[in-house]
Amino acid sequence: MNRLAHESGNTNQRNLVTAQTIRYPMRNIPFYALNAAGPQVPTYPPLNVSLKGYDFTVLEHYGKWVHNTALNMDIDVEDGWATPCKKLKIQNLRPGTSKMETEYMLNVYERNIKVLDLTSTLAGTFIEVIQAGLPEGVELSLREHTQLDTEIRYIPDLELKDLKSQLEELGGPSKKC
Amino acid sequence: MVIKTMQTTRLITQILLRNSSKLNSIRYQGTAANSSKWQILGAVCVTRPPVVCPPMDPMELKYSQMLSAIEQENSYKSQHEIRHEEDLIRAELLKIGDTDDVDLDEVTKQTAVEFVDAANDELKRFSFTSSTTDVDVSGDLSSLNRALERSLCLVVKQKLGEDHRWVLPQGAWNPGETLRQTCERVVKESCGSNMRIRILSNAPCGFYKYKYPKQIRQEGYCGAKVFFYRGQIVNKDTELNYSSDITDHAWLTQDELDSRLQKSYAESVAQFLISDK
Repeated sequence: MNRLAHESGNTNQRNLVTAQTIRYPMRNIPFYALNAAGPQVPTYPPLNVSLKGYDFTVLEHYGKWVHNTALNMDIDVEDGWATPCKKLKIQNLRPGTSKMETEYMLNVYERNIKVLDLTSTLAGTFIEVIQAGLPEGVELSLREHTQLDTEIRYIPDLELKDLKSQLEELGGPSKKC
Repeated sequence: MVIKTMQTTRLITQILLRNSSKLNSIRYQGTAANSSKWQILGAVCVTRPPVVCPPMDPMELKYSQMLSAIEQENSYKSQHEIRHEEDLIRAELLKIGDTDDVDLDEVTKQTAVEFVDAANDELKRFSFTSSTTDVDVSGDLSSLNRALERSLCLVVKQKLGEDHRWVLPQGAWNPGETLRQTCERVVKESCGSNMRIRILSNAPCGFYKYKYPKQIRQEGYCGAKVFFYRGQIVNKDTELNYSSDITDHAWLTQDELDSRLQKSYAESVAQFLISDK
């Protein structure tokens, strides 16, 4: 009994006088039970770190850096994706007339990183670090992740929509399933 | 006989008094040694993040130029370059006189070369503002408009006890409020209600401990423990009115902090500041 206890590294043995029980050393607890209680600090709901910018290369590099920083800080990052860009057309009109002087085509690119279970103790530091590395021309915003943010990622199937609208015109489906 | 007894009683009372005074003094020393009561203070590091990006080093400039040259070599032709080539071909055909293949609508539109010239003219007419403002030139440390490429931190000359010291704005914690509320109150009292601050976390980011001088120590607290919070200034353009406790203020970059603050204090502050280089 003593040899076994010594081999497994137990420091406390059952003692009739003090009635201390055997304590399990850390390595005998299975890995899925170690963090089963969850974080002991209040956490935020799923957050969306949204980066918008006009310069594609700068934005992409910054997005990668933010993702890596979050992973290095042991933050649970669910996903990082690129939202399709918004294409803007800006026309400079000659003053006084409506004749176009110059025309600019600008694209607003976007990168999103979804962060889960950000503890309230780490959140302040994380935001400060990200802000410290913010490059020129990039807009950073941290919001709660909504259903709309996931739905925007899907490209709408126009053919399917067309067929469905045709079916509605004809009077709805013949079989109600 | 009577005198002797009086003398002995006097001696006895003297001895008793001496002993009681010793006891009293021992008790006094005991309380002084055990009064390790520390006053809790909350301090705010009010920061203004950089407004403009710093220019590239010669090394960074060289590398970025090399990368863009490589990208240019490896890239396909852009729409602009294709248009330029078509313009040249069209000009050749018009010179020869062969107008069958030429699309005459395209001839009247702006050619690629004209477009480039117009764009260059517009760039020349546009003037960039410089990143060093008048305040940088004049060396005024109390204005928020200085050092646009660096992040600034507010340091004030505050009255602590008898003397004035250069510290981050600090104030005492009152029981019943959280440390974050203390910090928000400190900012409101010392910098006026015009300054709006965004404190991101409820937990402090730094700590500093110092002992009071011996004269003040007997009042109960033997020293103070300062907990630092990071706050970002939200409205940069409003007028700030500082309280009477503060005789001077300065917005300093991280390098200049060492010259103003005391060494040990500056070390504690440097622990939580994020470098902006």
